[in-house]
Amino acid sequence: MSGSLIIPGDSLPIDSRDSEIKTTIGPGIYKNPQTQSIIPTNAGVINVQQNKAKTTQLVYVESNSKRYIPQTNDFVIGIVTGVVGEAYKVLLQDFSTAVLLSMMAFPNATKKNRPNLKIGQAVYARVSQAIPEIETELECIDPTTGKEGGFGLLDESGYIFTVNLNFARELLFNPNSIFLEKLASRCKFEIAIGINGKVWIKCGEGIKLEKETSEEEGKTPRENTRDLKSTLAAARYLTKCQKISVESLDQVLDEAFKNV
Amino acid sequence: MSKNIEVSTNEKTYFLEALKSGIRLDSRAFDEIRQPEITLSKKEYGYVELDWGTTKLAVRVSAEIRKPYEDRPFEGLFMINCEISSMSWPHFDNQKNSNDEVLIARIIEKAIRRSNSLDLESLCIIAGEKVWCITVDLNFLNYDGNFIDAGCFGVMLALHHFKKPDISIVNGGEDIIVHDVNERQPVPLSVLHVPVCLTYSFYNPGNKESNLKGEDDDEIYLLDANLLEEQNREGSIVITLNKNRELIQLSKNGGIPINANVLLELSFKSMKIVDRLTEKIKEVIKKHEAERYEELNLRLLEVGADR
Repeated sequence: MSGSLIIPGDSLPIDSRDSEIKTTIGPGIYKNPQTQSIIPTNAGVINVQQNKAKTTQLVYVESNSKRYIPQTNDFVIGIVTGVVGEAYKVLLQDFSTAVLLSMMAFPNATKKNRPNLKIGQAVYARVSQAIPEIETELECIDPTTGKEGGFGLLDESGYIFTVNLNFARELLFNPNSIFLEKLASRCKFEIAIGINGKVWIKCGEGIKLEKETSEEEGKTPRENTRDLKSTLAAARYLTKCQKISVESLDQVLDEAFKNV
Repeated sequence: MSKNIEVSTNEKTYFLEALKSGIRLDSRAFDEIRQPEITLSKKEYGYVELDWGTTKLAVRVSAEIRKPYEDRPFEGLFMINCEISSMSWPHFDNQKNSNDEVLIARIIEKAIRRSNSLDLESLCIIAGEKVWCITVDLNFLNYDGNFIDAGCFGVMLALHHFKKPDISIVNGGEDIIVHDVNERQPVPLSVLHVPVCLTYSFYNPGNKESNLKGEDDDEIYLLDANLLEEQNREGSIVITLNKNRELIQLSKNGGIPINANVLLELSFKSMKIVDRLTEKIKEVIKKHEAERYEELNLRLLEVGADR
């Protein structure tokens, strides 16, 4: 039954009372605490995955939405907007409530050795706590190793843009996704995808600020703008990818990289 | 909830660095406007939806018969209601009008109403007694910068699209009959000229101090800024022109100083764009009229066949 459309109020294509199969519910599914019955709450494509022994199953609705609601263990990109006490206020989406990123939630951080983030800078972080009633918290440590693990400040030589939430999930979770593969045929890039719909991308060296380039005399300004142009072209390409069919992918890629 | 957007340092540095190398983030040229996409209502007169890039707006024109002002008995009434709701952008408040909103509404009104682009005397029915009152409701649906240019273009388009019902005066000027649009062909408004607003945003890539002193004048100007560009601009100017090469309005509210030569240069540059936009209005309306006429003819033919 996976892959069919479902809207709120439909009955789910599974038998939830069947005690033989243990059901795990994902996004878009609601369990009524009184009756223990489960119903879909989002419109989208239903996904039911059973394991081979048919003892457990996973049910969720794949849908597109604009508002991001933080969930524990999500990887997000946030913009630092302020400091409250010992924590940074971080915005995950425009016009949303700011979430907290404690200064202690960085690797090797102590009271004396604090991270130094400025307002407007972007961080890649993991949602460590998301309970609707209290403030959501982020952290920049990999919980399994206690090390950096790719989290932390995203440097300013990369460009940040926003995409739809389902496209961000597609880029991050779908191993067969062809969008980034196609892009890799054109240029060398570094990318960070936040599940909150923000994408940070840097082609080659990205941009170099003037003070850095003056120290480094070897590079000509033209080489600098080439990286800048290809970063912007990559961002343009990915933004367009949200709305096109697979057949026109090459054409869109060519169009985006026309002037590079 | 934060009522404003946060522009990350990354976006800002990219934007400014790109400007210095002569490119815009959406790969437009510096003096290139976003292509307007126009939807004209087929069923009624005077309803227009406009997509200016991702800036969206809806305009409705309506007419009613009212008593004129006592000091101007021969002139009809013309009003523009500019509604900027928080639907277009949460930053705009529904209840109270912020300075930006008042400014947008006033500039549009000044460009169109106060430049006499609508012939008010042709709206007179009986002097001192009855005149047409034309009301334009301008609703902004989505904000991605440049409400002024889009709003002005949308209102002018709607005024061209609108037709008021035909009237006849009977009993020696005592009574008037308003004819239904199906009974008699409605009459278009007489639009005297088409004002076009163009907004230029200014950026100063160099030192702020030396710019204020007037030592360097290498400001960068962008036509038709989008949201990100509008958020980062250091000054802007609205130039309103029409096809007859008349300068209707210049509005520069603070911001960095610009050179007089730049102003002249921008005005001359604007003329081409004004011509193109005016031509676009005429062209779209003409095509729409032709379609409408064809539809009407078809209906007449059907009646004939029934007999």
